[in-house]
Amino acid sequence: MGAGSVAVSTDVVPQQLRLLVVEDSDDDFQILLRELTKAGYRPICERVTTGPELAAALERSWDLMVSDWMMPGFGGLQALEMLAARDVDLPCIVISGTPNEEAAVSALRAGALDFLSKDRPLRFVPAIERALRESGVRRARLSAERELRLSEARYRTAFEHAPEPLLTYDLARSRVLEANHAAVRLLGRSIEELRANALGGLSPTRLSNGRDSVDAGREIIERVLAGHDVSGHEWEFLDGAGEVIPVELRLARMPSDHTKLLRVTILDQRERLRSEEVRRRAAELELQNRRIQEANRLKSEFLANMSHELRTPLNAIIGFAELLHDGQVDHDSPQHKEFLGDILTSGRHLLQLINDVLDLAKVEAGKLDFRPEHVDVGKLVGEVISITRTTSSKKKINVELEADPSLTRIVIDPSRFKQVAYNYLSNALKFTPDGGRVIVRLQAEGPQLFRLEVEDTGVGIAPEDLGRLFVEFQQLEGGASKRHQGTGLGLALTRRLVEAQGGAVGVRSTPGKGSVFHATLPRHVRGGEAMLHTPTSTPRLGARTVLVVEDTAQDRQVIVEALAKAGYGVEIAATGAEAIRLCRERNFDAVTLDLLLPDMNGLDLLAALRADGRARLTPVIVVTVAADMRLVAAFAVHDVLKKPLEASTLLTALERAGVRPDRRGGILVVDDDPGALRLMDATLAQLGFSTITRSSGAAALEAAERLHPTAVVLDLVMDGMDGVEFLDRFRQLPEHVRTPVLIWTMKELTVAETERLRVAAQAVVSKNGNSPSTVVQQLKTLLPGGA
Amino acid sequence: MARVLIVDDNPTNLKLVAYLVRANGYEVDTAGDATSAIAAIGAHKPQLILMDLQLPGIDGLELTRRLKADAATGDIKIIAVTAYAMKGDQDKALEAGCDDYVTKPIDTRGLPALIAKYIGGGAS
Repeated sequence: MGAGSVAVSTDVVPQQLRLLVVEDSDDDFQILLRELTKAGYRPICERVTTGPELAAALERSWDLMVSDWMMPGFGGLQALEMLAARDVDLPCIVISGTPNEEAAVSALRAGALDFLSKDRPLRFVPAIERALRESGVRRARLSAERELRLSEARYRTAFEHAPEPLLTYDLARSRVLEANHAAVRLLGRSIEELRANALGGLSPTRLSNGRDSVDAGREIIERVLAGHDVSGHEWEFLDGAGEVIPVELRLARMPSDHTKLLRVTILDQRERLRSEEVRRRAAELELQNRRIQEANRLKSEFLANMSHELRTPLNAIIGFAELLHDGQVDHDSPQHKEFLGDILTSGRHLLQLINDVLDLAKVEAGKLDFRPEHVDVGKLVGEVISITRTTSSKKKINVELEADPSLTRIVIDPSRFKQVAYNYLSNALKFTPDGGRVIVRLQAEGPQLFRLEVEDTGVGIAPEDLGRLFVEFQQLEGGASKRHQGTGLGLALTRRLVEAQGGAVGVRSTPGKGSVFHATLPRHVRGGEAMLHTPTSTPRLGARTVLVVEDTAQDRQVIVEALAKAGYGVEIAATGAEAIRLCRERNFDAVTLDLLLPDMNGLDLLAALRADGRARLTPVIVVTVAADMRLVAAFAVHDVLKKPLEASTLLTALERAGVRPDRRGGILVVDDDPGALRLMDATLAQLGFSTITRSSGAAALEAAERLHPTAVVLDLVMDGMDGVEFLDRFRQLPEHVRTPVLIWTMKELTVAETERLRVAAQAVVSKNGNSPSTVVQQLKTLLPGGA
Repeated sequence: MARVLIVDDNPTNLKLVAYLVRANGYEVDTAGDATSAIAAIGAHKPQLILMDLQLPGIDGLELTRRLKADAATGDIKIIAVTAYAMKGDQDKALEAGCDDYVTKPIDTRGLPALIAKYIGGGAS
């Protein structure tokens, strides 16, 4: 090898070239060197002539190989084959003394970059330079490719072994393209399974926020595509075992040529959510604990106060009773009667206290029944004003009622509403000095609420005390309240009653001038759906029955109540299908029909009813918001009524259609005092009785003949025909020989009068000291089988 | 004649106790709050006070403390008469300086004897 090594140098262009020459002819080798030297190269050369020599030389690094094509025992083809066999990347030029096309093709096929003739040494250097250039380019490309492969491998390793679960998502195909080990582990699904799915397909159908996962997934991707940052997006996967895994997704566009790829980083949120849940529970328990402690404290305080409040009237009751009983008070002294009066007063106070406490306990326990119904709040307040008339007239306090006439269609529990109004009014009367003024106002407050306001010209309340007003047993100091012997529960109870019905209470006050207490209540207090469905009275046998087709609970309530009160039987259908079914099953005397039903058009229902045998001729009254006469012109309907519906309009329409209720069973109330008449009417109606009210004996007698009442509540003192005369003539009607009559009168009856009345009437109740409910109690005993 | 001052903000109870004490032969003054009690003591110093603890403004405990702290009134016997009958209420009354403690409803048969225990029987 040493023999062939020649160091060539030129001073001009010292180009280093490591050249391996496979050549048996030294002459030819020198020619090659000469050409290179001429061109300014200073090659480091080695000449080999055999395979083993070449093999040894290939252990070192070369820029180029030049090989003779034909040599004894070795040749260019073999040299090229050795390069290929050893995977040596060395550019090679073949030189031949006897060039032919066939040899050139085999050489080039075997990997030579050029095939030259020894006859043309001038071509050597350009060919070598071209080969070097080409191989440089090729090497650079190969090195870049290798670099790329390495980078790809590094990336893949980083992806596959990244601790956080990663997905590559193909947006064009809406499929997972790749998933790393952590993702496969987290999701508990095979890579194939992952790759077969879109984001939504790997999730529960419905996410726990209620959204459809396919829609939600599409939306996220759209937002990514629109360039929005969607890092930290909450998501849920469904793992292979069907377990929901809450995660946070971070999404980023990946650079790629043809497809839109998304890098999805999955952050498992289970641990975080679990610890959050633990923290939340701990906080909840802490809060609950504090609440329990506070409740306990309040309970003890309440008991202490309760004990105090009960003992105070008991002190007077027991104390005075003992004095009287022990003979310590002279029977004839004025104190004797006075002390008895004190016992009574304290006893009543105690009773009131107990009632308030029971109500309070009921509200507290949510056990207080509210029975909302359509009421005239102005009328109810009027009743409360008359109940407190004794106090107001004794103190010469002028009580005024200012009621907004537009306040109609209020649905509220009348007795609870009156309780609230009574508490406010009696408070106002208590604290207003003689000759003062109290104004009760009923106002609309927006479309949903109304407001009850009671203004007094009383002592007023200091601003710092306003907050304690509605709290149990927090009577204000300063003598005034003590003198008035409140239970300390009235306002607290009022607040709870109002709040339990979805309302609020409040007060504003100027000390020395007076106070304004108010309660804001919903116009429709909800008493539970069931309440609104139930007709308020059971129809009597033989009553005309109306089918009410109406899907809106409130409207249904108006109609049902109006019909039931008027004595009709009522059947309800909330859907068209139900109406059709009911009409096939039985006959109705009339149908009220809402045009807007959940399942079918009201007109289609009408057509269906008309086509059917049974309801073909039944009078139909359309009750609708869209009162379009033309719409229903093609059908034989008796009336079209517009919502909101007044009870009287509906009843008139039914009468016009010839469907009158069987009035039999009504209670005839006869009283010339309109207040008393209204009160009794309201009381009876509330308990499900239908009533006939008349304010004179003559009118009552006419009603007795025409309307067949089952009982009579009768006032004795009336102008014109009085109660006694009415009773005489009433008993002469063959139908009413045995009809129960209950006398309800202010008149103090003589023994003779009582005797006489006892023959003609079944019961006598004095208006003094008896409420209408006493009358109702009596009536119930007189009517066979109750109402 | 021995004099008893009754302090109570409830007029009915005031009437009851006053009648009872008077019937047992004592001279009786009444007051509905601390201010009128102090005025009554200034006018005629009583030997004993029946003191309701819950009063508007200055309450019975505070009034007792003041009276017991004042040399001029410190010797007046004070019996707390209260509708507060929970555990601890008695201790509070005695701590404030009350000589005795009875709860409402009062025992009309026992109260005269209790008064007599402190200031002797009234003139009958």
